Amino acid sequence: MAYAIIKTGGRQHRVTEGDIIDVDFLDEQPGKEGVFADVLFHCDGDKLTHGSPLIEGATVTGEVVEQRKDKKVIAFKYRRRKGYHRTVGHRRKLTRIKITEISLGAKTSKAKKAKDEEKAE
Amino acid sequence: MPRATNAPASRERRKRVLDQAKGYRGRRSKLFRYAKDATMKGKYWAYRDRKTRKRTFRYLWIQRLNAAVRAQGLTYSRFAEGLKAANIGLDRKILSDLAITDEAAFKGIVEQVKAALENKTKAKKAA
Repeated sequence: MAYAIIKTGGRQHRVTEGDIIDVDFLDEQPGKEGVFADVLFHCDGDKLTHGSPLIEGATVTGEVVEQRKDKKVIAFKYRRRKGYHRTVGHRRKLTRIKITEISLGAKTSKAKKAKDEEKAE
Repeated sequence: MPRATNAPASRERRKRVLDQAKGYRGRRSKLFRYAKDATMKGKYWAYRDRKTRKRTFRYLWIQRLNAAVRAQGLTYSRFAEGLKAANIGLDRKILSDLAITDEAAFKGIVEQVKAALENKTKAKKAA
């Protein structure tokens, strides 16, 4: 099963086609496409591709399912004996996205790149 | 004039705290005096520990990675050096997950790392 590792919102996600994942907020309407250009790693069976650190030309495309908010977290700060306390609620904005396509860019360049990489190493 | 203490509001306020303390042990869930302290501490620690959780998970991933790379004849320290030399940008979470769920891919990465380390030492000797 082919999977890719993408970087978005400061986090890395391992995705396969058809996955539905929550990523940090992307400014897109539901039904529209979201494209991740930061692909770090791709694995198809025993065929590995890793970038340095990004794989050039590779993209992962997804369809935005919905814009949602994470569970509320309460930030409660207080200092004892100082009469200070603050309660701040926060809900992180998330984008639920369905991964539709993992593309490594042009096929020929992919094979070449893997070879080049091996040589470079 | 009779004394007005606004008891309904006070009761409401204390009830809110006691509701929050449901499920706490002993008097911490039954008595306002102790429930208040418990809920405050709970929220305070939750806020702090959301930050420490990020650290403790990183420690865990590193421990797992160390075990995984030692099985391949490297130490974590050398592995981390090699990752940088090989310009692999994967983070610890992903790497430890790969080590557990996709051994073949992880081995592939370790091979790349070893090659990068060798190149590095060679370059050093040449210089």
